[in-house]
Amino acid sequence: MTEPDATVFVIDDDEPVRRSLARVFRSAGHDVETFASADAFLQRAKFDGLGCLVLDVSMRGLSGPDLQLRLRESGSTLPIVFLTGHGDIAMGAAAMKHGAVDFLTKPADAEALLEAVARALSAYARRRATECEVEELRARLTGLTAREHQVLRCLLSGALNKQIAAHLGIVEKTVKVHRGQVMRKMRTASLAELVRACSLAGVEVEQVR
Amino acid sequence: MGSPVFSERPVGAVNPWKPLADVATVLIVVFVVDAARSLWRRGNRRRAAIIGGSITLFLVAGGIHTALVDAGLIRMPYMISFAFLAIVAAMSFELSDDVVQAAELARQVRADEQRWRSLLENVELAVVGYDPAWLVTCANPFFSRLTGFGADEIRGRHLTALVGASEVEEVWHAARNGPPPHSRWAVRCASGEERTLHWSSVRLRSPDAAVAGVLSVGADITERLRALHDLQQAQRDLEHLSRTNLLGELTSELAHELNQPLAAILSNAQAARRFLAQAPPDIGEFDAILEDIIRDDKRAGEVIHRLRAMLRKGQVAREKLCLNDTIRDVVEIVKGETLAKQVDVRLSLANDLPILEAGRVEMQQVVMNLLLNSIQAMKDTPPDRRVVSIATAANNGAVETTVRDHGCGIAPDTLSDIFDAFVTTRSAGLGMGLTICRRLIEAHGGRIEARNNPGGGATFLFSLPLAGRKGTDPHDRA
Repeated sequence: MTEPDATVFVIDDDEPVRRSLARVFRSAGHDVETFASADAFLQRAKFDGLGCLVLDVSMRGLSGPDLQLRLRESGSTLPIVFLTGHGDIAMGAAAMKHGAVDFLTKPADAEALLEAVARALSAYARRRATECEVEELRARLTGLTAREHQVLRCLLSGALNKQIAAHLGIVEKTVKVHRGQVMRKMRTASLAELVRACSLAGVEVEQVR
Repeated sequence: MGSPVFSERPVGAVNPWKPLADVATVLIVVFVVDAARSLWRRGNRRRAAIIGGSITLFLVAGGIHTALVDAGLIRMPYMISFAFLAIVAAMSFELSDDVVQAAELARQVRADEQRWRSLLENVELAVVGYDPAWLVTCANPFFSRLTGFGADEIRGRHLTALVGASEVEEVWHAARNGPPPHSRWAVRCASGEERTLHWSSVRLRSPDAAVAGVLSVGADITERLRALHDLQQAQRDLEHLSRTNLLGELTSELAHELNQPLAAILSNAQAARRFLAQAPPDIGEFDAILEDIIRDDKRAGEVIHRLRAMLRKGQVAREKLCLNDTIRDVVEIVKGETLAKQVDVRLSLANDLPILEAGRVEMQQVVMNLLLNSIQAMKDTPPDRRVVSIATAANNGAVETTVRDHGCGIAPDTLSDIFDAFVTTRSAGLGMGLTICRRLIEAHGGRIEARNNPGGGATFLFSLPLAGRKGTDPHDRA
C-alpha cells in the first residue's frame, strides 16, 4: 500500500513537532523534507514527483489553508493531509471541500497519519497514471488523419462498416482500411479497448443515421 | 459710778477686761482681712474691696472716735459699739450670701451630673472606667447591653477578662505601657460572640497628680468592619474572576501550546517503535528520539506550571526568603538547559541582601522565566558570548534583581508592551511568560521593567519592596 519512492513534505512551525513527524514518515520508508513555514515550502523548487503534504493548520505567517489555496492557484495537485491542534470542525470542513485528503487533530496517532498519507499517495499515484495515459492517448490521436478521425468518431457510435461507408459516401473497403489504420495507430486490439481509450481521451461521438 | 452715761471725761477705774475686748477687736480685723483676701482670691474683687473697706472704715472711724473722746477733745458717748453692729450686719449678710451661693452651686452640680449621667446612659458608645490596676470600676448601660453582662458582673473584672480570646496578650501588653490613646480590640460577649470596638482612652488623674485610673470610650465598629471585609472579599473575587476570564480567552492558545509537545512525544515514541519493529531494528536515532521526548515532556510540564500559577486564587503564601537563594536554586534547576545551550550564567549577588517576604515558588518562577528567556534570546549568539549575568542589590528599601543577556534584544516597537499577553520575542511561545512575571511581581508590590543594553542584548530588572505590600487586613490594629 505504501509508495516507497514518495516524498512527504512536513510543514509545521514547531521544530520538535516537525522533527518527530519526520521520524514517523521515515520509519515508513518515505523520503521526508521539513519546512518551518508555508513560505519556505513555496520557495522550494517545483516538485514533480510523487509526494504528499502534511500541513499544520495554524502557523505564523501563511496558514495551512492559505497554502492550500496558493498551491491550487498555481496548479499543483499535491495531496494535503492537515494537522490541527484545535480540531476546528468548520476549518476542517473547508479544507476537505478544497480537496484535502484528511484532517487530523494533534496529537495524531502515527498509524492514522501513515494511513492518511498512504491513501493520499496511492490516490495521487492513480490520478497521475491516468493523466499519463490520457496524454499518451491524445498524442496517438493527433497521429490520425482527418478521415481516420472521422471514421473513429463514427465507430464510437457503434455503427457497422457498411453504415459508415454510406454515411461518409465511400466504399466499405476503404472504411475497413481506415479502421485498420486507427486500430494500429491507437495501439488497441479490440473495439472495446478503443472505446475505453477514446472515452478517457474525450473523443466526440459522431452519430450515424 | 453714779455719773450719767454722757460724762465729759471718763470716770472710774479702767475695766480689767478691756484687753480682752482689744484682742477681740484685733481678731475681728484679722478675720475681716482674711475674708476680704479670700474673696479677692476667688475673683470677687469688687465685693472684697467694698466689704473689707467698709468694715475697716467702721473700725478705724470707731477707734479714732474713741481715742478722741478718751482725750477729752470731743464730748460724746463712745460710738464704737455701733461699728461692731455694722460689722456683724456685714458679716451675716456675707454669710447668708455664701449659703445662697452654695445652694446655687449644688444645684448646678446636680444638673451637670444629671446631664453627664443621661449622656453616659443613653449614648451609643461603650464607656468603661478602670482603676490603676486595670480593674473595671464602672461601665455604662450600652456596654452592658453590648456584652450582655450586667454592670455588677463587669465591675471588678480585669481588662483582660473582657478582651477577645486571641487578643488577651496583645491588649495586656499595650495596657502595661499605659493606655494607648487609640486602640482597636474586640470584647468577648456573654453569648461568646466577639465584637470589635475602636477605643479612645484617657488617663484620669487625681488632684495630687497621681494616676487614678483610665476611662475608655469605645465605638462598636463590628458591622463596619464586616462590610469592609465583604467588600474586600468581593474585590478579590472580582480579580480572580477577571483573571479566570482572561484564562478562558487563552484556553485554546494554551491548549495549542500544550498540544505541541504532546504531539511531538507521541510521534517520537511511535516512530521509535516502528524503527524497533524493523528487521534488523534501526536504533541509530534512538538517543536523539529519547532526548527529544524528555525535552518535550518538560516543555509540556512548564505550560501546565504556568497555567497553574495563573489559576491560583488570591493571596500567595508568603515566607521569609533571601532572593539570592532563590536565584541559586533556579540556576541549579536549569543547569541542564544552560549546559546544553552552552550558556554561562554569572552571578553577582549582594552579600548582605535583606530578607524578603514573598512566595517562594512565585519568585522561582519569575527568575526561571527571565533566565530561560535570556537563554532563548541568545540562540544565535556566538557560544563564547552566551553569558547571562544575574545580580542582586539592596536599594532604597527594596531588593533589586537584574538579569542581563547578550541575546537578540527586544525590538523597539515591542519594548513598551513586552509584558502584555501574546507579545513575544520568541519564534515559539505564547508570550505569556513575561505577563505572568509581571503579575507575580506586582502581586508582591514590586515592579518589573525591560530595556535593551547599549552593547546588545536585553536587561530585565525587577524590584521588590522589603515590607511587602501594605497589609489590607481589616483586623490589623490602628
